[in-house]
Amino acid sequence: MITFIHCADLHLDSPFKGLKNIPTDLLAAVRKSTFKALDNLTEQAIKHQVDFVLLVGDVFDQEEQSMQAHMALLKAFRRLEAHQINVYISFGNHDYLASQTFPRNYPDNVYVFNSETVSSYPFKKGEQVAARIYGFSYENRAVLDNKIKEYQKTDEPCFHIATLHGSIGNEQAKEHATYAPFQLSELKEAGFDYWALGHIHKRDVLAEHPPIVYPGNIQGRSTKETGEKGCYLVTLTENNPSLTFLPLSAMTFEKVEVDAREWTDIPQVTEQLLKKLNTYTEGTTLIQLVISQVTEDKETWFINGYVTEMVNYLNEELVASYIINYKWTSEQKRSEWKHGGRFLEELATAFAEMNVEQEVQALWKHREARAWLHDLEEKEIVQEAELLVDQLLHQKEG
Amino acid sequence: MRIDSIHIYGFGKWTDQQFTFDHDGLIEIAGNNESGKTTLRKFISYILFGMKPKELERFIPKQGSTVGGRMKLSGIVSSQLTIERVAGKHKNQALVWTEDGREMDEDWLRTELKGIKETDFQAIYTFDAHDLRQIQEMDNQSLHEVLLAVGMTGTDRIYHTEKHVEKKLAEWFKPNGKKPAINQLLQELKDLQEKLTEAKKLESSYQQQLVEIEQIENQLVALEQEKHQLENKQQQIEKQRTHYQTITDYYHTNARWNRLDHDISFPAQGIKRWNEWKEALLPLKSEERVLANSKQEIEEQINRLELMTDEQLATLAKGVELFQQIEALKSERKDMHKRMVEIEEEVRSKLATMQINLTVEGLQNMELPFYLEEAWADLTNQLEKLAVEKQYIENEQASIKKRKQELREEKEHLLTSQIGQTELKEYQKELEQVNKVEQQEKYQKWHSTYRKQLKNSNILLVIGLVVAVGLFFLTDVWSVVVAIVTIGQNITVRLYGKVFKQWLQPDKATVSTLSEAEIQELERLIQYQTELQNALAEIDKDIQKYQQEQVKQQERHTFLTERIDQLEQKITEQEQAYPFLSMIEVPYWSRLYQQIIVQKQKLSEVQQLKKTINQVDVQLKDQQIKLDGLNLDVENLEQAYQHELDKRNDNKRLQARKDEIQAQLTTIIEKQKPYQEEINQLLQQAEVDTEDAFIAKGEKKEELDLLQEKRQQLTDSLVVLFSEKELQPFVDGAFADKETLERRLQELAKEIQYVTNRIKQAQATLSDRKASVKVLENNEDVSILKHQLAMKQEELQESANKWAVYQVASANLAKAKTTYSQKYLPQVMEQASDYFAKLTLGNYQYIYMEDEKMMVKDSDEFTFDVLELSQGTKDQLYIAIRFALSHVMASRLALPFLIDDGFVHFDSNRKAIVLEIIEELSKEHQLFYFTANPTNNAIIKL
Repeated sequence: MITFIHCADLHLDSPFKGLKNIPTDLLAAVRKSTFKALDNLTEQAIKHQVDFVLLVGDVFDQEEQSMQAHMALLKAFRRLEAHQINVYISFGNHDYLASQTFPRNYPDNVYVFNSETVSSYPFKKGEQVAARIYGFSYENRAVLDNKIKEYQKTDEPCFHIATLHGSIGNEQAKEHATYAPFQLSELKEAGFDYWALGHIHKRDVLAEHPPIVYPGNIQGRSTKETGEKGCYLVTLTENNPSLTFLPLSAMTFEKVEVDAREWTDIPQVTEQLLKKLNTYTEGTTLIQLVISQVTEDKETWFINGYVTEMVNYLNEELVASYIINYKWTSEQKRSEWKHGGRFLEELATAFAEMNVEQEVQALWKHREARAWLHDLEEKEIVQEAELLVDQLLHQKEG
Repeated sequence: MRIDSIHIYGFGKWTDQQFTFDHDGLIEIAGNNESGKTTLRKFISYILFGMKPKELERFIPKQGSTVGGRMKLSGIVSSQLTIERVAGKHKNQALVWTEDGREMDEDWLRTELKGIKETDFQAIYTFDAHDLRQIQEMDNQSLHEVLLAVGMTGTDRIYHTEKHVEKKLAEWFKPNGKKPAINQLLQELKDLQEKLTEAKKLESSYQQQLVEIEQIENQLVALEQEKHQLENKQQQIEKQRTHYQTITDYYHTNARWNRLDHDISFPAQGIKRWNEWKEALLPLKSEERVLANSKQEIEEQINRLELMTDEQLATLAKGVELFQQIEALKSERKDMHKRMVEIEEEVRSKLATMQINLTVEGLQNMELPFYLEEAWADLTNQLEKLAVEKQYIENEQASIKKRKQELREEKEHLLTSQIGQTELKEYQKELEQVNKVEQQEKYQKWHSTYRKQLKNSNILLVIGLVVAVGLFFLTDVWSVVVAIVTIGQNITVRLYGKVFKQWLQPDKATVSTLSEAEIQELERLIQYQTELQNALAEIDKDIQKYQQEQVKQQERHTFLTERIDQLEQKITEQEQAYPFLSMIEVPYWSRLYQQIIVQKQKLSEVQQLKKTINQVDVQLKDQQIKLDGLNLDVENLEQAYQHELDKRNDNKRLQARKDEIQAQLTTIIEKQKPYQEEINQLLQQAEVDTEDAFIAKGEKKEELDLLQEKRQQLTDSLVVLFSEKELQPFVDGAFADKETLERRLQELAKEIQYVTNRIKQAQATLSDRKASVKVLENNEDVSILKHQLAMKQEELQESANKWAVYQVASANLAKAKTTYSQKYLPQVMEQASDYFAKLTLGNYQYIYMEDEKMMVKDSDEFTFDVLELSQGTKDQLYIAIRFALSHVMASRLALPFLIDDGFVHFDSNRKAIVLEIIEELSKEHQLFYFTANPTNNAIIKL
C-alpha cells in the first residue's frame, strides 16, 4: 500500500483578477494566498504521513518566477524532507524548464523530471521498490505532441503512477492547439495504476479504474475559478484505489446570483444581501454579485452609485466574505428601437454592421497600450455601447 | 388615422363643445384671432398625449367646468376608438374604448401610436407661423438638425448624446495625451514595468552568488586543513618545550636503571607488611594483659563475701513472716474494741435525749415486732376520723331544728289572711250575672240594621209589581220574570230576619248592675284566695319531712359514741404493754417506733463486735507460740534477713563478670594467631631467619622498586604526550635542545597567523554573500510588483473596455447620422424641390446639397446659395422643405396634420399653391387647416 498527495497547477505567486479596489490588507492576503495554499499542502502531507507528493506542472505561474515563489517552494520541500516525504515534480506550460530563472537547488527528497522525454523514478520503501513514477516536463512553452506512447511501464511488481500535464484532445487538430493532447481510452489502456494529470484548473475525476484525475488548482484566482480548491490524497492498495479531496485554498471565490425583480428599497436589499452573504462563514470568500433582472426604475440605483455605496457598506459589515465587484443586467435589454424613429433604425443597422476591432484600434494598437491589452470582449462592448446610447438618447442619465 | 369627432367638456375658452369631422380631405377651421383655433389644436394634442400640469393650468375654463373631453378616432384599429382624458380623473391618464366596449389604457394607446411623443408630433405633424420664423437661421446644419429632429424621437438628444460621448472619450484617452485616465494608467504601467525589470535584475544575481558561496566554502575547507596541520606541528614542539625537564629525567632514570641488578627475592611490600603485622599484634597483646588482671581481682572479691547456708536463710524467712502476722492481728483487735465502745455510748446518749424513761438494758430486753408501727398508726387514724364524724352530726341536728321552727312561724302568718268558704261562693255568683247584659246589647244593634233592609225590600217589591203590571201589556214573559224576582227577594229578607231574631234575642231576666272596676276587684280576690290555700298545703308537707330527718340523725350519734369507747380501750392495752408510751400522745407513737428500732439495731452490732474480738484473741495466742518455737533474735529479725539477701545478689553479679572476662581473654589469644603465622611466612619468603636480616634485604629491594616506579611514571606522563615512536629517541638521548625548540615555535606562530587571517577574510566574504542571498531570498519586490502590474493591467483593460464602449457608441452614432442623411435627404430634397418649384411658380426648380451646403437652382439652371435668396423665397424654401420633411416622415404613421395658417404675407397666387399642397397632403392624411382668412371650403367657422 502507498499513500501520496496528487496536486497540480500551484501557480505560485499568481496575480489575481478582478480585485482592483479591495482594501490593502485583504489584497496582501490575496497575494500571499497561493503561498498559504502551498503551506496547507505541506501540512496535509505531513499530517497524513504520505509517502510522497506529486506536483504535476504549472508549479509557478509565470515564465519568470519571483524569488518569493522560488523560496516558498524550497521551504516547503525542506519541510517535507524533514519528514522523509519525497516529491516528484514536473513543469508545465507556465513554468517550462527554459523559462526558469532560478537554480533548482532542491533538497535530496525532490525528484525533478527535467526532460521532455518521459522518464521514471523508483520509490523505495525500505529496500523494496513500492512504486515507479513516470513523467516529463515542458522544455519549452508548448508540447503539442501526444506523449502517451512514451509512457512504457517496467515489469517491476509495484505500483506504476504516471504524471502528465496536458488535456484531452487531438494532436492533428490545427484550429485550437492542445497541450500534450491525449485520448481517455489511451490512458485507460496504458496499464498504469494511476494517472496524475495537471493543467485543467477544474477538479475532475475522468475515470475511476484506474483513477485518471485532475486535482484542479490549489487556489482560485478569479471569479472564474470558484469554490473549494485543493489536492487529492490517494491510497493505492492491491485491490482498491481510494481518493480523498483535501481543500487547501486560503480563500475562495464565489459568484452569487441576485434576482433584482423583488427589490423595493435600498435598506431591504441591503438586509437581504447581508443575510445571504453571511452564510459564508469559513475562511475568506471573495464574492462577485451577478445581479440580473434589474427593473427600469432601479437602473438609476446603479447609474447614481447607490449600489456601489451599498456594496461598500456591506463590505464593512461582512465578516468572512468580501464583495470584490458586481455585474448587473436590466430586466429589459433596452428600448425597442424600431419604434423610435428612422434615425434609430439607422443606428441599429450601424451597430449590426460595425467592426469593433477596427473602431478600437486607436487604443488597442497604440504604441504603449498594445503590450498590455489582450482581451477584446466585442460582444460585451457592443452590448454596453447599445445600452449607453439607448440611455443617453432617452435621457436615462438619472 | 383620422379624428371623427371631438367633444370638449371644458378646455380653455371651450366648454361642452362638440365637433364632427365626417368630411374627407382638408378640414378647414376658420376663425378670427382669439377665436380658439390654437386651443382646439392644443386640445387634440392633449387628448392624444396628455399635458404637463403646469401647461394645463392655462386651459382651465374661466367658468370652472371640468378640464378634458373625448375624441373618436378611426384607422388605428379596425373599429372606431373613443379616447377620453379628464384632468384629475384616472390619474390624468387616457381611457380608451373600442366600439364593442373593450377598455384599454394609456400604455396601450402609446404602443398603438408607435411610441410617438408629443414633441415628435409637434415636430412632424404640426406647424405654424412660429416655425416660419426659423427660416432666418436656416443653413445646412440646421437643416440636418431639423431632419434628424423629426427623424428621431426627441429633438436635441442626438446632439447631446454625441457631445457627452465625445467628452467621455476625451476624458478616457488621447493618443498623445498625458492627463486622460488611460494615458495615466499607461504611464503607471511603464513605471511599474521598469521597477520590475530592476527588481528582476537583482534577483538574477542570485545564482551567481550561490556559485560564489560554494567556491568560498571550498576554499575555507582547504585553509582550515592547512591551519590544522600547522597547529599540530606547533603543538608537538610546544610539548617538547614544556616537558623538556621530564624528557631529560626520563633519559637519566633509564640510564640508572640499566646499571642495577634486577633479581632480589623478597616478598612484595615485605617491610611494609612486616610492620603492619607487628603493629596489629601490639594492641592485642596489651589487651590480653589487662583482661588477666581484671579476672584475678574479681576472684578475690568473691572470696571476701561470707554467705549463710540456705537452711539458715529459710528459718529466718519463716520467723519474719510470723512476726508480721502477729503485728497485723493486734492492730485489728484494737480497732474493733474502739468501735464497740463508741456505738454503745451513742445509743445511751440518744435514749437519754428522748426522755422516755428507757435504759440501754431495757431496750436490749424489749420485743419490738414489725407490725407494731402500723398498729400504732392505725389507732391514731381511727381516733381522728371518729371525732370529725361526731362533730358533723351534731351540727346537722342543730340546723334541722332551726328550719322546723321557721316553717311553723310562716304557717301561722298565712292563716291570718284566709277568708271563709261561703264568702268566696258569694263572689263567684255575682260575676256570672255580669256576662248576660253584654249579649242583650249586641242583639239591639243587629235588629235596627235589619229593619232598614226590610224597608228597602218592601219599596223594591212595590216598584217591581208596578213594573210587572206595566210590562204585562207589552210582553207577558218579562212581567212574570220581574214579578217573581221582586217577590222572591222580599220573601228572602223576611225569612232571614225571623231566623236571626230567634238566635240573637237574650233572656230578659234579672240583670245586675255592677261597674267594671268592681268586677275586676272581685276576680282578683277570688284568684288570691286560691293561691293562699295552695301555699299552706306545701308548708305542711315540708314540716313532715324535717321531722323524719331529725330522728335519723339521733340514731347515728348514738352509734358513734359507742365506737369511740372501744378505741379508748385498745389504747390503754398498748400503754400497759409498753410503759414508756404513757408519757407520749397517741399520734406520735408511730414516729417514736422508728427511732427506737434504730437504736435497737445498733445494740445488736455491738454484740457482733464482741464476738469477733474474742476470735482474734485466740489467733494471737497461736501465732506467738509458733514464733517462740523458732528461737530467733526477735529484735533485728527483718534487718538480718535483708542483709543476707543483699550479699547473695553481689555474689551472683561478680560471677557473671568473671565469666565475661574469661571469654574475652580466649578471643584475644585466638586473634593473635594469624598475624604470627603471616610473620613466619614473610621470613620464609625472604629466605632469612631474623628480623634484622629481613629488614636489610627489604631496603635493598625498595630502592630498585622506586627506580622502576619513577621510570614508569615518566613513561606514563610522556606517553600521553608523545607516541611510542617519538619516545625511543628520548631514551637514547637523541632530542633537540631548548633553544632550537624556541626558535622553531616562533616560526610556526607566524605561519599560523597568516593562515588564520586568510580564513577570517574568506569567512567575512562568505557571510556577506550569504546575507545578500538571504536578503534576496526574503525579497518580495518582484512578487509585489508583479501583482501590482497585473492589477494595473487589469485596470487598464477595464478602462480600455469602457473607452471602447464609448468609442463604439460614438462611431455608430456618426455612422447612423451619415447613413440617415444619405438615405432620407435625397427623398426630402426631391419632394422639397417639387414643392419649392410650385411655390416659386416655377422660378426655382431644384434644391440640393453640395459640400454640406444647401443650394438651389433656378429655371435658368443658375445656382444660388440659400443665403443669397430673398426673404420671401427663403420662407417658401422653408415651407417646401418643411412640408417635404413631414411628407417623408409621416409616411410611417398617418397622424392628422394640424396646420396653422402662417402664410399671411404670401400673395394670393402663392397662397393658393400652399393650399394646393395642403390639399395634396390631405389626400393621404387627415389635415386640419386653421385659418383667419376662410376660403369657401371652410367647414367650421368659429
